Amino acid sequence: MAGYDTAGEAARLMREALVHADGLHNLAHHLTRDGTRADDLVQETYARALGAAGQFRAGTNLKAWLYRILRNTFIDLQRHEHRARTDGGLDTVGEGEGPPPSQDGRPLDQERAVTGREIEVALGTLTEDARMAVLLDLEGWTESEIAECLGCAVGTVKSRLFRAREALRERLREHGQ
Amino acid sequence: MASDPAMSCEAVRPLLREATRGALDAAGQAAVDAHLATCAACEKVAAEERALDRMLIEGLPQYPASLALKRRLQARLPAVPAAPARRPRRAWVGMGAALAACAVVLIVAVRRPPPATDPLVAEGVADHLRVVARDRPVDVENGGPHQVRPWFTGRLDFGLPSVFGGDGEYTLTGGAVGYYLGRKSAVLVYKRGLHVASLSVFPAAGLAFPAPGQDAGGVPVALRQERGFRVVLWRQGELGYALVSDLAAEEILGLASRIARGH
Repeated sequence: MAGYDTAGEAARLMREALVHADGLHNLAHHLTRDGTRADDLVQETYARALGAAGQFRAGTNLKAWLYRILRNTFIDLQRHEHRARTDGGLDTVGEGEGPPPSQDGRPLDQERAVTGREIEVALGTLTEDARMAVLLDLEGWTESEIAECLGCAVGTVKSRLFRAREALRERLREHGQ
Repeated sequence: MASDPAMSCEAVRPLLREATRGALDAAGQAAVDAHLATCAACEKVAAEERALDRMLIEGLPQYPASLALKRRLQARLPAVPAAPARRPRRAWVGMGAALAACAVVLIVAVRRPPPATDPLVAEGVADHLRVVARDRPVDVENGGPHQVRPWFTGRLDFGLPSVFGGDGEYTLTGGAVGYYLGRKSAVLVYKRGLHVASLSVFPAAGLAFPAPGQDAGGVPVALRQERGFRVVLWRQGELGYALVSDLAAEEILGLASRIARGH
């Protein structure tokens, strides 16, 4: 399959890529939790995508390719800022993981309304890859697509999603009480 | 997956997310449904999965890219090379001025691209549409030209000359900072009755302005029409000007004259 090796083809590819700016920025914001850093992350993502346009194969998933670049860029920027987690894990639920879900509390949907800010805070307690998995899953990505984006096995996505959503339910139940 | 009514809670739980969305195959769905029918604890977790989806979908704040960011991204993209028709222009570079002039005339007459392909014109119309589409098209309301121009100080990377502050016919309603082909621009909004005109002022260096064909207040300007709007483009000194409106040709040229004479 043809790549995007010439400047003209790369320019056309990047114009197609602009369609995903909203989704990429939303993800960037939830990863960085900062508007300015999210802008920087998206700009750097597009810059890297342009530089790597020759590696993109026509007919493959442009969206997944861009999101993967954003994720890798985010990790690089974090390392650069000396903010990378030292426990080496992007694939587990984050620090402060709560107790296992209680079985005797009120159901999540019977708690008081949880605000958007509280949902964000709960989401923010997850590690970045767990957060990404939850958000991409919410957008309707298949587990295979999420796995491709995160560079891991489908089974890892399944378990990561299971644990992340379990933790989210618990956090939000705490907020709802 | 085999339908197994004796499926354990531990085996069912990891499948609940997919089950609540109908993403399992028929056998898997049947096995989970059978388990849920007899297990209140797992049914409760399944309900919570659905509730979590609802919360996230309805309550999680979304952060789409701002217009300013999209403009910056767009501005940094390389230009898509034009159609092969442009190639001969390179060959003309080394030829004599007279021949080049003839060739340009020929190109303009025969191969001039439609207005939509002129980025200066297209950008002007896109900016204008953004102005008329916004509820608050300006960042600074006008109390007179002496109020608008100082507001831009420090917000632009160029000096904004004195601006046409309106008259009995046109009202300067305010200004905003925008981006014109990736350059910071001053956007001034004028009104006449129900007509809105937006003026973008931006550094002109490196931009290929269309050949002027009209005169506005002694300044040669180019008048174009695109998507139902008229666009007047001109250069004055180091700055470029793009005036866009749905005004008639003579009216927008009249406004351009007043703006051009304002310097």
